[in-house]
Amino acid sequence: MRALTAGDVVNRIKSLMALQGVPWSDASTRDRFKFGGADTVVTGIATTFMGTFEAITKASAMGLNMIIAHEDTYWNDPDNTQVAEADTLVYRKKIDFMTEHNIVIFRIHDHMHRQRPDFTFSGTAREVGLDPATETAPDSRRFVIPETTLGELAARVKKVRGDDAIRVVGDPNAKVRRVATGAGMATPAVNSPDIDVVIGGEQREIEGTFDSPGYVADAATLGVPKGWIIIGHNMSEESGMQEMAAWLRPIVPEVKVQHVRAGIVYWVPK
Amino acid sequence: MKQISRREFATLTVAGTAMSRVASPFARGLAPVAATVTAAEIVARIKKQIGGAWDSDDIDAFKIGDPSTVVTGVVTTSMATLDVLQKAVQAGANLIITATPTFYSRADLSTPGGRGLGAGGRGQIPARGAGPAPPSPATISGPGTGASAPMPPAPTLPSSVVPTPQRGGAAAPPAAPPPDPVFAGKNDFIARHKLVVFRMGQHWTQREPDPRAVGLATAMGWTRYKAGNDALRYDVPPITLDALASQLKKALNTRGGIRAVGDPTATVRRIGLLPGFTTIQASIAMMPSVDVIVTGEVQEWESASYAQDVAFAGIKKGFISIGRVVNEAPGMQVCADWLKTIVPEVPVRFVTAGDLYWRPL
Repeated sequence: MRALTAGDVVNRIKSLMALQGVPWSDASTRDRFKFGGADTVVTGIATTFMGTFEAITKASAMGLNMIIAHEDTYWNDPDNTQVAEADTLVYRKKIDFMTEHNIVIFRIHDHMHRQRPDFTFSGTAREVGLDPATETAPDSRRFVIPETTLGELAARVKKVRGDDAIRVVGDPNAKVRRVATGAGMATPAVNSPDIDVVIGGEQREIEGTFDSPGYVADAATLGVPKGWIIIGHNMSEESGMQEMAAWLRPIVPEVKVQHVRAGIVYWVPK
Repeated sequence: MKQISRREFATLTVAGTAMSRVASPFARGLAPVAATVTAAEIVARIKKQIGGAWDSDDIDAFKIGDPSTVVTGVVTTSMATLDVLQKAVQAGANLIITATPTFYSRADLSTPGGRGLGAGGRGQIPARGAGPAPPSPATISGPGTGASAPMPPAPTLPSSVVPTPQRGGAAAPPAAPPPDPVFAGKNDFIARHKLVVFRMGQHWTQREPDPRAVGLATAMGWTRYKAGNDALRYDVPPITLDALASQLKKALNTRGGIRAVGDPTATVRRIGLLPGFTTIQASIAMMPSVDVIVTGEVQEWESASYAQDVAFAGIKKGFISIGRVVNEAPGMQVCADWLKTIVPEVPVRFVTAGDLYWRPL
């Protein structure tokens, strides 16, 4: 029997996507091989948020040489290796490690966000403890929860998420009920009249088309109940890579498929 | 005592001020200065004396209020939040000079553009000098778009696969939604107190050396450790990354916004500052020659992930993000000190917007 190659895995991904209503588009420059290629024989698959050195090393140690990463490998969204080549500290080590361990990386981003559910959203909702029964409609990414305070909700998110680097804007005593979720940069603005609080991934503090942190700070001064809970890009999309692993398993029965965390990005000082 | 009208009182005090101002400078051998100064006059002085070309009014401009307003006092700030505006009024100031937007977007318009729109897509920050670009559907992220980034047009999917996004909440929004209460509240306060807000986020930080670096070094007591003549580099006595982050947190009075990457026990000595928003290219360029980078804000999957990889490789270097608004504060403190020298007529003071973020226990 012919060994399973990375090309086989990608072809099966494309077929299942198409079958589920997401035809593959080669126009995506994100969803491509980032290291290695179609001919690489696959020993096992790791899904992860991003092709961090940590994720690659952990996967390799577990005997998984194919990395299915949601985000980039070379510290920039277009995965332009010229950007990374300018680095003299770690780029070479990372490349050498991948070469030595026969690693192949395929990124799955744009197509993943077209799936329904979009696992990055449903995974985050699962991990922060939002009951699917409270979602206003399938894939609405809006939840109506029993009324609580922003402080209590944020503490609950932090507790289930187990991560310190959560940042919150708003009056901790603000009464909130209507939650909108975000994944990565796809974090909705908070000024919609039917949203009390956003739980999302990442957003620039200023200079966007809408800067929620300043808005929520002013809302707090005015006594308008609004909240902004930012758990981090990694933290908001890693969860969904667990769903992605479960989605992949039935189509690659030959090898082990496992979710491997890309690692904690930030810690916070005392 | 004779009652005087408000108008008479104003006339008397202005005349009195004018006379004393005219009289005393002569006594001190100085040129006389005008008794009153308008917001427009102050901004004209800033443009003339800032030390570089004033090449664009796209970002740095009056955002609200009448520029012909006679200024009673100036407040510089990292962000003209409503809280800062209230403190300005308490201090008797009516001209606020802010490093960052007042109305929650790069466009900085005092009326809401669209409601419930997501912020810009990844890396879609217009080039300096470019006007605010209208959000294209490809760059809007938010509920129902399924995108965290611009994507090629998605094919039409069967409705069974993609349900029509529903507007959340208990009730459908009314046909004519009420005005945004936050915009309304802020506008109302500004109008009531006849405040004038000017943004100076571009030209001020283009000064050499970067006032944000100078101010941060002053706040941290690093000035004497400056590496050569470079205001972005400081060689401090050895300290652990953890202790350095804690010092920054305390000295800059931050709450939840400061975050760090790297081994907390690593000893660091060479500090590099990259004020404001930092690109991956800038981080890669600086990292080899320092032990720790202190910056305002980055995109997580760029510089933060790079620092994560550097740390994972066992290289004892750190990366600290203090927050974009927090990072502007030391620069605007320096700005207040500078403005005092060109606006002698009225008090000038700095009021910080603080750290917008807190962290749950």
